[in-house]
Amino acid sequence: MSAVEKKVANKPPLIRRFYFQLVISGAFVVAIAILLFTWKVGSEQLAYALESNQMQAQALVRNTASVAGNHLVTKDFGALEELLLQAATFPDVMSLSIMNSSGAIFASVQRNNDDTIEPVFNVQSMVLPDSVEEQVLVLQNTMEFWRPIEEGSLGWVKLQYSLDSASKIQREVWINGITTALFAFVVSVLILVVLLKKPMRAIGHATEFARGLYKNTGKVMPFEKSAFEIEQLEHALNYASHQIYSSNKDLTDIKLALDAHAIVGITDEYGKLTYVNDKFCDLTGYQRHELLGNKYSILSSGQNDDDFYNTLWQTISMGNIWHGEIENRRKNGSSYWIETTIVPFVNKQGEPYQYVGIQTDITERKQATHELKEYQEHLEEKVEERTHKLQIANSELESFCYSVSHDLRAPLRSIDGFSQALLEDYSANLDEQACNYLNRVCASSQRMGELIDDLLKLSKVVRSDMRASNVNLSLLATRVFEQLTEREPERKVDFSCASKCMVSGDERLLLAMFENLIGNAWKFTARTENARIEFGVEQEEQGGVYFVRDNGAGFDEKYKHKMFEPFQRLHSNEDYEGSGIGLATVQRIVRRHGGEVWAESATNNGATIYFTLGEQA
Amino acid sequence: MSASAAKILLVEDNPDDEELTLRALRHHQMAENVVVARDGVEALDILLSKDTDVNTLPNVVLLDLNLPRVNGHEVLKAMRADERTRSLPVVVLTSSNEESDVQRSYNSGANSYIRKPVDYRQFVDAVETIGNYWLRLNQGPIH
Repeated sequence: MSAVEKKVANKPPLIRRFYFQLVISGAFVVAIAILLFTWKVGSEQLAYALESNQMQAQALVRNTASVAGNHLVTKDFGALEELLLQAATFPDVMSLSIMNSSGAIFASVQRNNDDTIEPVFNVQSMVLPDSVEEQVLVLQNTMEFWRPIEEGSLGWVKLQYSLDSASKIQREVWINGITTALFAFVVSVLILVVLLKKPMRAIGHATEFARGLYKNTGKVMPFEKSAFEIEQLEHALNYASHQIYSSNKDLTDIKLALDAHAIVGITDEYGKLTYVNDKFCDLTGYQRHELLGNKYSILSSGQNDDDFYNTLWQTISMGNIWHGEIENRRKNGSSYWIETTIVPFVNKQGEPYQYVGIQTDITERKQATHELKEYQEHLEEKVEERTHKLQIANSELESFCYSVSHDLRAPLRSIDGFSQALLEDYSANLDEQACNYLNRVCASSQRMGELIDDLLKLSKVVRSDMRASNVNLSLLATRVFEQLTEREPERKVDFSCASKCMVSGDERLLLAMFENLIGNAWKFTARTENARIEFGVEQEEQGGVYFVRDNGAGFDEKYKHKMFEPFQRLHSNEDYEGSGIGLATVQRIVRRHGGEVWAESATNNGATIYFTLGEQA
Repeated sequence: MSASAAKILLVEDNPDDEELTLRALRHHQMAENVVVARDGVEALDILLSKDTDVNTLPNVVLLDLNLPRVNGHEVLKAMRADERTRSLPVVVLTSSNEESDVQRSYNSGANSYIRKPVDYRQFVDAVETIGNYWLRLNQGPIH
């Protein structure tokens, strides 16, 4: 936990203190303001009172001096005393005295403490001012006024005037001011407490809310009623909370998805694991606590060389993404393969501070690839072996066929030749029956010769190499038909042929196929009037089904499954000659081209041989 | 060179075929000067021995391919390799009609290739044609 986090999480809220300070200082300011006002008013009141007292006292002293002059001239001292008593009835007059020009007192009155006024008989004389001007002396709590009577020739009036009333006014002002200030302070406190209560509570809530933002619960703080002052703050906090929550949710969702799919491990800049997800633990067989804090190399299989790791580290420590396949080792020692992408996270200085590895387990794929490879290698061996065997078999077949063609024919030639020799040289000694038998021997040996030749042809079809080229079937069919016509020009056969049937195939084999198919059609229409042979194609768009059709003898559908077997004949040799090898040859040729062949017919209703040739050009 | 003086070397290991061939030649009065070799070694002895010269050579060689010891192809090759027999007419007369045999024979320098028919009448015709052609019509190489 960082220092900032600790501050946020642990410090109690300061809002109470702030609330208190705000209220007290607010009230204090009000009180100070009132006191300042009081001070000003008090000062003004005092000055005013002093001024009016002075004026009042001056008027009094002047009048007294004026009247006292008359009494002095008449030497009416009783009236003088009366004058003084009367004048002294003015409040604030403390004493009033009349002196002659040398300072001896004629009459004097003074106020006692019980506020009564009585004359005072005092023999002592007073020190008069130096000039005959009117004098005002301000002393503590009193003012002294000196007024000359008739320019001092008759004497002086001295008034002692109390300033108590002025002081009293000032004191009262201050007492009122302080009382008001105190009252205002209390009232201010109460008002501020009430006024600030809700905003402060709202701020308190907002603070609490802001403190909890890092927990990122996505909560929205409730709005404080009547706390419009901080509404914007609340809005801002709610918006921030929402934004933080939603962006964090996005991140969390992505992390969830990532964890669900991939194996994720994070290391610090030194390669020490700081985070692993469940899949990581499952794959490696380690507990999380066994992995965290350990170097990633704990998983190293040792199968990759130093160069490999050097390149990897070089790439990611430069801040580049590394992608590749690594073989690692589980806790139990077994190895596994991962396809991994390592993404360095860089700080402001561009230096990686952590590496995030996102991995996929490709062990099965690797194994499958490995097995497939082994299988392929093995397969090649197998194929080679088979091919070799096939080659041996083929060459054996080759030599067998050679023997057949060469060695089987020789005895036949002997049989035929010597039978002929007998017939030619010794016919005189042989009866008709014997000659007949010898002729049969000759015919049979000749027929066997033909059979051998046909058998050889059939085996050649299987053995010979395919030489694929573009072949025009129509042309081949026409050529075969023309050859037959040349051989038996007396036969009238109607031939129709689909034009330009192009296929990819071995021309020699396909020619042999037509020789058999059209040859058969030719043969089996020998006894048909208006004989007709047709070569055509159906379903051209699906690759083409070709057919050779005749209106000849046809065959019994019951035996059609036997038609393509070698030496299988559906007609007697007397009716139609043949070795029974033709359709077997056709079937082999068609199959070598990847096609199929089948027949349709009804006896005496002609035959149709259909064939396909597999992939078409 | 008269027909009767003309010489044939028949290289044939099968006594039946030999007899039938000779009979066919006799039939056409061409059997007087036939020399028979029963395998390839014998044939080469006759053709390439030290005392053989152009005057003792046959006019035509009828050569079977399937022979004991040294086969027909080898005989033909040896003949074509020797100055004396390089241009001697050779007719391959065999049971085989394998393409490879035909091609190989011509490549080795055979002048003709004839397959022995099973039908004796056809065989006789073939022998007659060979005899007529090579001994009577054909102008052999000048020595």
